[in-house]
Amino acid sequence: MFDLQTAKLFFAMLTVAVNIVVVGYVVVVIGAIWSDRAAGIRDQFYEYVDGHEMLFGSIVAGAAMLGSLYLSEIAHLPPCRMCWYQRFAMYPTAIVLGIAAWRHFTVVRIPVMITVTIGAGISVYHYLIQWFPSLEGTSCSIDVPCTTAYFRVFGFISIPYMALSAFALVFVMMLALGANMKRQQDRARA
Amino acid sequence: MNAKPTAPKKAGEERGKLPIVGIVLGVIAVALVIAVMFAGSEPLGGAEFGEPTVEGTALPPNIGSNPADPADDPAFGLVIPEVTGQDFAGEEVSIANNGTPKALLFVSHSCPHCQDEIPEVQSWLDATGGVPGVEIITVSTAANSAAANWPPSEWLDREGWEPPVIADDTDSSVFRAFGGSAIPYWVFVNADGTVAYRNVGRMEINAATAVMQSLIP
Repeated sequence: MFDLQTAKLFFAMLTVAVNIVVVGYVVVVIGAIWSDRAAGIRDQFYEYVDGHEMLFGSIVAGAAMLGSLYLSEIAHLPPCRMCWYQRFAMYPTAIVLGIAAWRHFTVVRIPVMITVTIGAGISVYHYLIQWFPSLEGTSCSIDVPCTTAYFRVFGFISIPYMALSAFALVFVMMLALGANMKRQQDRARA
Repeated sequence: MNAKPTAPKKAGEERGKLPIVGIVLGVIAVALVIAVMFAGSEPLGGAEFGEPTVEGTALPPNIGSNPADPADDPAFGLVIPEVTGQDFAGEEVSIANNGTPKALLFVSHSCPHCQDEIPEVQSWLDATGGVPGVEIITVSTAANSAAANWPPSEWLDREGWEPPVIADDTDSSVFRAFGGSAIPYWVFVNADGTVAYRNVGRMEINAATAVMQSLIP
């Protein structure tokens, strides 16, 4: 039942869901500059995730980690060099955020933001060289070329796109954590 | 470690909010149901892997770059190994030292550079008919049913590829016997069976034509 075709579509559906949240967040945050209504929606979002930001971030990063392990260890799609670099960013994020959510260690917020920013940068580059392989030379490694996309669900969702989406949502959660920490400090002062 | 300034929310404060874990599980469940319902099956390939036999001494590995002087290539002047293989239909195709100069082109269906190289070479063949007296033989290597553009036989058919093709085996034995390190990969062979030039990566068709013309005795 859960063959590679099903797994690809499943991961792609999750990616779309993640994209909706991230794009919605960006639109609302930008809109909040001019619109009170958008600012209200943004605050509602912060209120909603308040206390769960790190848990949610760890779930997202953990799902990305398990997904990548499924693709390499069960579906036998060996990771390329760029995939490994993204793993270096994603796997510790999943573990660190999980522990931080459990122990309420909000101090991890900035290191996690830096880590996922680096990971997202690698994902963007990897995604680009899959579409424009000439950016990385004129040949493909025979073993696991980074320029080759194993698949593109819906024509655009490849593995680095999935990783980028996960990094982006973790980043949004860390922004929300920062905003909620500030709101609570403001309330404590008032 | 810093702790969050305020204590975690109490149960009463969560009233009116859907549990975030429930939302996450709901999204996962919906995605799973959609995936199971709408996933297709893997396309089946035909005889995409061959069982080629390689005789003779393998060429030294290509270092992954193209020397300015062909004589700097450690394979320059060495006799190529001979290959007896099959195309995708199972017909025998061979690389033999039979006195004919050759241009061997190693490609993989999933490599985007190969995907660019093949139509360019085919257009040149359509326009010029190639270099008279030089045999072009293709080796389909590094095939992977999980990778894009599978299967290679359909890809080459789609491109109208005319030169004979040898389907490499799952270990890419032919490619490795010719010292390949990356694709696309050209090996130009003199009439006496020795290596004239090896090129890793995409090659301008004018440059390839010039090398092929130089092979004519």
